[in-house]
Amino acid sequence: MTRHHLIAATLVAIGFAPSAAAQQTRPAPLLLLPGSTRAMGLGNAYVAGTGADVIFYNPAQVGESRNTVLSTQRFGSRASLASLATNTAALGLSIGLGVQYIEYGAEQEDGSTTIGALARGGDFAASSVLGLLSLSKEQNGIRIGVTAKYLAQQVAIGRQSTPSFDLGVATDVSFLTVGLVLSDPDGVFENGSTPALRLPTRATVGAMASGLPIGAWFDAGVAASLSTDKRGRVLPAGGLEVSYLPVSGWSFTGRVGAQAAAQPEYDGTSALTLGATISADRLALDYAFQQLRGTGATHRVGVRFR
Amino acid sequence: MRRLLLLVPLLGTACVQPLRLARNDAPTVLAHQELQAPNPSVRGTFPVHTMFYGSGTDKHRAEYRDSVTFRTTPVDGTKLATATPDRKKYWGFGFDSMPVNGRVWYPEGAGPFPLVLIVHGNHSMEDYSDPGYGYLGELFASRGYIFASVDENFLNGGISGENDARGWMLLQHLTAWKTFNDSVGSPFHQRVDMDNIALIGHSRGGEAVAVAAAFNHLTHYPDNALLRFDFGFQIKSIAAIAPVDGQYQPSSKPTPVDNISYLVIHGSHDGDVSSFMGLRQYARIRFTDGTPNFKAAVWMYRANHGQWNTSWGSSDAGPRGGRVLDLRGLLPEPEQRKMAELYLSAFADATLRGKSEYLPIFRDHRVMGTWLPKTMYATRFQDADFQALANFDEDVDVTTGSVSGVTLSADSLATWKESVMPLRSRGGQVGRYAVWLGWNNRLAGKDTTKMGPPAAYTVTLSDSIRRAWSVGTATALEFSLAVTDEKPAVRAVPKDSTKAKSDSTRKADSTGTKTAVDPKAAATAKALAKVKADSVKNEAAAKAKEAKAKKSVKDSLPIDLSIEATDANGVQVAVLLSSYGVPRRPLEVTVYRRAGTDKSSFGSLAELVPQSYVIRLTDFRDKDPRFDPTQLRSLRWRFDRTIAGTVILTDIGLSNIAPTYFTGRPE
Repeated sequence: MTRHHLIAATLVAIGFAPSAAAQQTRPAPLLLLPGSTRAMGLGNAYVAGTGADVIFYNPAQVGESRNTVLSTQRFGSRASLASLATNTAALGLSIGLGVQYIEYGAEQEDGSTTIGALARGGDFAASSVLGLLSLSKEQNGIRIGVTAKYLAQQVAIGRQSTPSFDLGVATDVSFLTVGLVLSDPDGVFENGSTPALRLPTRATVGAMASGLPIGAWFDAGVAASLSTDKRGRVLPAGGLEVSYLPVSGWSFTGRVGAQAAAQPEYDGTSALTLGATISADRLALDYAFQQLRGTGATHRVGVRFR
Repeated sequence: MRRLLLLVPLLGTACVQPLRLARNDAPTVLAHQELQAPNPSVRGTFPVHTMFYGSGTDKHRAEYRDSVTFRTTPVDGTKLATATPDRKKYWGFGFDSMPVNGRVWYPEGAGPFPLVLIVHGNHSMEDYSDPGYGYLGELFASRGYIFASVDENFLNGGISGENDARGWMLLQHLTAWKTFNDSVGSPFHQRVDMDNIALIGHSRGGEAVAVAAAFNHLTHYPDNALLRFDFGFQIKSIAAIAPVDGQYQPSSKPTPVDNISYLVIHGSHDGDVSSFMGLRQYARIRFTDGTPNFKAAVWMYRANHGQWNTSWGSSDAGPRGGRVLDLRGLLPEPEQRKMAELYLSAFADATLRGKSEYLPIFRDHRVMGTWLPKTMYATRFQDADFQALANFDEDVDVTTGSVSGVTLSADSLATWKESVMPLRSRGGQVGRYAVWLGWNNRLAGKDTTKMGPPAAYTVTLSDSIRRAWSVGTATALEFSLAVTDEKPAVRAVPKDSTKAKSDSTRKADSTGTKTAVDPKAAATAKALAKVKADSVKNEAAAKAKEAKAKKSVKDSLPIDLSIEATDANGVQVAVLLSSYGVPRRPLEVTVYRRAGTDKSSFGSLAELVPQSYVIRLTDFRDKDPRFDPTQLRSLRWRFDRTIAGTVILTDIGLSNIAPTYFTGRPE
């Protein structure tokens, strides 16, 4: 299979994804939230990212940098999120594992809420957990991957759950890594009898370059992505990071990202994100920040072990 | 937030270790200029021209495509190295057609001029290395040499096991030069002195010149005899700049090189070849054919790997190497290159032109004190006449020398052992042996001024050796010595057998005779016992304090000792070691920028480079005319100038060394 065939197959897959009938008013918030602190700082433009937490963005990339990532995010005092991701290799495959959990106050009885409202909190106590298992393989310079997901949500009306999956491809073109991913095709696993969790079906294409030297002491990284959902709404995102490397093994990184959050589910979020990392050998401490309009801000911290 | 931002550079600085440089003794050591000859690093009188030779088809470099004066035929090196497809794609040729490309600086004139080839080492293949020796090309050509910098960039980059190909390529270049010289109508017809050739190599190229010298006399490639050799060039000398060693081993043996003059230079702050690996090739060079060759190894403090080549520059770890390596301690590039100019030019003059006035430089760098950049050096030297009394390689008996009739003995030493000479790199070794001699002349006890007789190490030679080696007024003692940081504990006081006897007698008396207890005597005894107990306690405290001090403070005082010669008539004469060189304590070097990386990367922070000492027997006679050099019986290293220390001694021998190594003039 050539690179072109893979890209075409992924695009076709999104087109054929059936739609659901009775669903939440908005997609499950856990699937819209960042899965990585570094990614959050880069405006969530991370389909060509690296590290274990790329499992939340593109399964094709899970083998690119071996580590374990723990992170937590707070939305004022009303919502808290925790996530864990790790990766390994076996049988010629790269394997990723991830889990993300959130407790929040939902605006709707079905657990729906906007991201911006998470800090304000809703009337309906809710929690949601997402488990992920990824497999990826590289052949002829092309990495392909699949993530099996399981999302469960506990709200006032009871417990809802759904399986889902992501398909991804990625490759390196000169100094750039380019990725394409189809995520959460809605309705594939719907049984029709109960209101299903709504999945934010998307196709995303993105690129990233990191470690670009700026003089002797600085490196730069850039990331950009373009997502489209089933309604044809386009969500551009991008980010830039600059690292200061005073000595081998240590780095201090600052990053800025932007995400054009036109969709209603992102109401109340600022387009701008900021982030920073202090990295020392096998350990990195990440931080990311996003302003939530009228409700304060959200902070995310993470730790990466190699 | 502002405070947080301030923290970043602070944290960054905290991970970088402070710059640590040893106190520079150059103002004293290099204060004098004994050599009265023209400075070999000064440009000569010949007008200099440049030209290129090569394939004429190079994809990337116009000089080897459009500007070649001589078109050369590519050579098939596939039996020696394997090219990967990406390499072939970049260069446009495989190893079946390696181009014979060179950039040449040559003097105006009829000649014939000696030929010097220089070859670079491994580096990014796309960042061409051959132009980086232009400073030497200009100097050499102006002084009457044809100087060619060989292009082996196609062997650079991510490649290993190719150093045989690098060496073989040098011989292909010599073949090309033979053609240039022999061809009637060639601009170089009869202008190349093919009887006087020197090869210089840097890094992997430094090993390649030894490989070339070894291949030059072989009829077949050792690792595939289907490849025949027919070279036999008159390579008189080879020089290696910060070379590697052992990356290629012909027939899985260390590259043997015989009967050729050899110079190796290396920098203490080399961030690529971090150990003085050239000492291994230095140790392997043998002189067996009576030609007056010599070998020298010069270690330069604060020099790195890349600054010998202007294209490579100061960062030995690539463009972003400053993050990894501490570049702050490096010498300025012109100073480092000045040292190369001095040594390489003098070496070529001495070995290709027979200019004996430069020979003393290789025996003792101090003779050109005002020419050398003001840093610290260590020089190892051996001339072709050297005969080993003790090089410690031959057996495990510490009392026997390298030849029958030599005995080794020690007196009052705390350490006396033979072992392999280490290199700084973890597990690295020179491949030759030495003796470790440790001493502490201080006697144990409360009186810290009480010293025992100085420790000593003696080499005794038989009459037959003296006669066979024609030991006499032309003879010099040669040895190499490195000072270590090890300081043995104070010397135990020898048992006083007389006192022991009287004590035991008293004990026997006291047990044998019952006497009435005198209360006054008992009180006195009790008081004495208390004093004794206090004394023991104080002594223990003093010992603990001394041990603590020993642990925390390294002995930085200069070391010195006496070298004593004794003749058959019992006449003993001593000279001071420091008169013949600097017995410098180990210089710790931190190559890496990050604190702790050097300690975890290397077996030792200091490279133990033995300094060679050459002491003419007539120097002993000058101190005492009764001393007869022809009757030399023993040589003794008397550790009488420094209370305690440990030295490593190797390559002890005698040589009827040419006087020119001292005077620069035939006597």
